[in-house]
Amino acid sequence: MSPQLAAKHPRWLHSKPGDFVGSGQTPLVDKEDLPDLGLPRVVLIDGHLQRHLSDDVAGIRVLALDETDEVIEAHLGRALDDDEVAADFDAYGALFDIQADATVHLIQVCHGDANARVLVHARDNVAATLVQHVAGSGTQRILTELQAHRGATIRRDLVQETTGKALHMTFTSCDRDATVSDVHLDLDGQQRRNTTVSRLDGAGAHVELMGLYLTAGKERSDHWTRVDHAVPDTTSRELYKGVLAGGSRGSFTGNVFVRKDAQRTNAEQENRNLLLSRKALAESTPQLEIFADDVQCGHGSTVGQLDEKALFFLRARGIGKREAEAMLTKAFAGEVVGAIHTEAVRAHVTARIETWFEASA
Amino acid sequence: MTQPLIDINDLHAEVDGKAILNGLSLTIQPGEVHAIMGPNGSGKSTLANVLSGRPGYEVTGGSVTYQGKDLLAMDPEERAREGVFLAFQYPVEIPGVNNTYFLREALNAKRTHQGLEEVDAMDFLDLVEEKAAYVGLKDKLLERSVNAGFSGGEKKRNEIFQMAMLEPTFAVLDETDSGLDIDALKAVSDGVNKLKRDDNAFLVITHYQRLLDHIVPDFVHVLAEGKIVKTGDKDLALKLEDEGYGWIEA
Repeated sequence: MSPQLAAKHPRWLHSKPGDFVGSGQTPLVDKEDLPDLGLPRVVLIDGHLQRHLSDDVAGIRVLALDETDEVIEAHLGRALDDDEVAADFDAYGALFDIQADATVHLIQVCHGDANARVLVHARDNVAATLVQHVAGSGTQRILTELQAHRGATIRRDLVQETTGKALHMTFTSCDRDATVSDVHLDLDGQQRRNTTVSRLDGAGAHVELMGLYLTAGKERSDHWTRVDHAVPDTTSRELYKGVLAGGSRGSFTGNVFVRKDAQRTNAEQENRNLLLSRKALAESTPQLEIFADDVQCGHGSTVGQLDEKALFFLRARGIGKREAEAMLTKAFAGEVVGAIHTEAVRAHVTARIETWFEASA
Repeated sequence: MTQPLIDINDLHAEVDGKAILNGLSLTIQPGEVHAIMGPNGSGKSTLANVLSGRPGYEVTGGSVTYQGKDLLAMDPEERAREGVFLAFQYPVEIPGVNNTYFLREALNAKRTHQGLEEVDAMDFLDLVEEKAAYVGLKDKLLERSVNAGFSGGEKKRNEIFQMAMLEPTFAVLDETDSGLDIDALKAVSDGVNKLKRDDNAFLVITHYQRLLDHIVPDFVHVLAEGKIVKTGDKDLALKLEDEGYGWIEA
């Protein structure tokens, strides 16, 4: 499929593949200049694994995706719902073959143009925590697969801080009794695009999708998610929250898909948006497609402003208007911030929201 | 005569273009407790909202002088830092904002305004423990978001707890007794009575005389159609309870 044809797929709603093509390369990077959360780091520059900048991570086998390896051979692309998705990506990037419980901080820096694939392969019954940190000023296209095998747990904090443009595509496969808990923190960038397709493949599988997007100025941030309940007895919970300032735009299109045989599915989907300016725009399109009859599915969607009553209450207690607004904005984001898996990321994001509010709202 | 704590003079105010207060005058000295009673729609809550600076309440005439300053020229937060406190008729729930955290921010905003140092964490917690005991507020509620999942009585106790923490100079209680059972009413009243000093004052807005059995007012005023139409002592409240408001207007 050519990029033009691919662009007609509904997952490209609100943007097109050509939006995420840049130019140039990233100059040399020093290890001291990279974000440090006190976790073992693995570094990709312009999509290429940098051994000299990366730490060894106990429990995880890290390989470049263009190396020859049985796991790469057997599993790369297995979580994709459509092989054509990978056509625009090179075979760069990294494999995280999780063999024992572990935590890792993946840093993807690009100041020019890059694409990368990331394969997280969590073996049976292991628990992995991945901080996927996207930084730099360039244009990045990232295709990540989160494959949780039987009884495995993958917890991801995806921190989007590229000031340029970022396209994230995440494909999750969640096997019997496995859990994938994915927190998407979309904090910066002129144009951001998140496509997340989560497939629940085995009974007892659970997917948790949490998202926070902050937009200001002329930024735009689009989120397209699909949760695919493919078999009986699976559960999912999804909550995306947007905080939109200035003349920015954000969208959420969330699809919960329950296949014919996927009885006893339990799925929740919510999208809440807070507009901090009259010129900001939020679009919210929740969708349920249910083909089974014994299911519990719910969804909710709101776009609103700060609660005037709460604002006055805080001011009437002596808290300044601006501080009260910041307090309520942080409270709005709080549910997603509370779901962040790593303490260091939670502290980082909390501080980020404060500086963001001061600068943007 | 000393300077009044608050001097409300010929106050006119409207909400959504509708005149609610029509020339209300009231002077309160330090150390006094005043009660305002009156039928629904007489302007009681509007007075409370105007004094605390709620947006949407437009003052169209008159003045309010508080400790020699123009109260109406101040933002709500500035009034609070100057010692004005409104105990809300309907305390708002604020999910995600911790009760204790918010109160510490509020107390420190006031202390900074007064040129005092911010309260340190240990002293603050000691203060919380002491004042929560005033109104019988359970510890677990202090750890929750502001009023989230509180019962009606717990919300009102929380209002008085906040009042105890902020030690206002002039407090307005807007129908704090509505929806309270007798235990909560007593706890709230005891809290107020402990906070009474020679240099502060309370304006208690209520429908019912029963609160005034516990918080004994120096003056009782009857508000009708946006004006004070009668003033007396605590016996006036008893008479109103027995005979209603009809005899005043007649």
